Amino acid sequence: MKHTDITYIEEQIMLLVDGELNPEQEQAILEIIDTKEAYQQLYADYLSLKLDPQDHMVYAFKDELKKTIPLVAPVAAKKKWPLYAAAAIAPLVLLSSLWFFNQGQHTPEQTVAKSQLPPVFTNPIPTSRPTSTKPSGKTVKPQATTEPKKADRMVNKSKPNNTGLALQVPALPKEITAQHTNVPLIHTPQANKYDAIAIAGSPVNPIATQYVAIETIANEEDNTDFVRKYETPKGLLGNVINAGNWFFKEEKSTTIELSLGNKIHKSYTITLK
Amino acid sequence: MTAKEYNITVEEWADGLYRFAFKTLQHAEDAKDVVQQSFETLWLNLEEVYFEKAKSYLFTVAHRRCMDQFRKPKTRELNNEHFLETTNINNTNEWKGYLQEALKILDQQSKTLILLKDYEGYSYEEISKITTLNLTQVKVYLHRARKTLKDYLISKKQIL
Repeated sequence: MKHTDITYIEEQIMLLVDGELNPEQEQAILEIIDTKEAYQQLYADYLSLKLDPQDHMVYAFKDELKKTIPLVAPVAAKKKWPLYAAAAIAPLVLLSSLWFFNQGQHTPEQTVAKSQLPPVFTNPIPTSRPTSTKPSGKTVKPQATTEPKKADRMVNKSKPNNTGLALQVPALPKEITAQHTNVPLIHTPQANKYDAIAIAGSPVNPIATQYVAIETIANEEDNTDFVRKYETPKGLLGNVINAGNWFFKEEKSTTIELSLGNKIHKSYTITLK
Repeated sequence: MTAKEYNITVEEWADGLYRFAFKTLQHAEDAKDVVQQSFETLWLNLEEVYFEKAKSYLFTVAHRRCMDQFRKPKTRELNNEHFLETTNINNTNEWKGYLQEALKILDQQSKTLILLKDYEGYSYEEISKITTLNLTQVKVYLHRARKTLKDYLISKKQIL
């Protein structure tokens, strides 16, 4: 639309009268108005149409509209800070007590993961120890009785005892078991030197050595080997056992079976007290 | 908004609201009722209305009440006596008197727009919020009303 169009000019004049233009637009339309007398007359007409505020007309009943504000005596602000302080301290005390209690439960004597646990002796299994290291010229075959038969393993696996232990060791020194009955025990039914060696050389060694440290010692009295097993559960499993033992405070037992083909088949029972 | 702020609003905007209602309805009692209803509505919604928005809220309610009054069947004639007394055309300005008279020929919507613009000084955008019209409608209706007033007053001047 051209600026010379009378409709556009009239619209701009009305916007100017209503105060809806910005300063630049006002200046532009005022310059256009100055160019023609007809525009000036139009601008004067619309200015005269503006209504003057009639301030003399007043509403005489304002007091009826007003609301009385109740005069309430200022109430002393209640001192609530002791409540807030108590609310803030309560969880701290609770957490602190739990932490101290937890610290007391994890003393080194009661921690399973610690390596201070006494050794648990398994059944002294007679093994063939060569009396002399000198070659005799004969081929000595290993005694078949030292190695447990597969049928025996099957029996032990298929008939677990009621206590959850894989094998009760009759020759286990009583003073040791009675002294350390409150610690978790790991009993291996057929643990022997062969098993230790087999585990050490087997692919399951990282798993086995993580939880069970196997040591073979010689018993000079009856010329047999003892397989000393330190139960040293470490890592996440040890933490889980500790947590469970601390939390439930009751005896738990579980059986872990390790199988590698037909050659290695192990069954461990872990008892938590 | 607090009760104290409500009372400040009454003191500050009751006159303007009454003028707007009176000019719109051309009846003093109806205008008074509109003012009372508007402030009563504000009091009932005191918690939801901010003090800064109180004026716009009041005029919105008053505008709706005026529209409701116009929709009612008219059982009486407009009372212009009070209007003439308060405006006092002859003593103030002859032109302004004609202008007030010319307002009667406008339709209700156009008159409301003129009153909101000239008396209360609302912008087009604020008027659109109060009257629930869009900005273009406000602009067109207002310009049309001013043109009607101008043509009427020019013809009146020519007659005189």
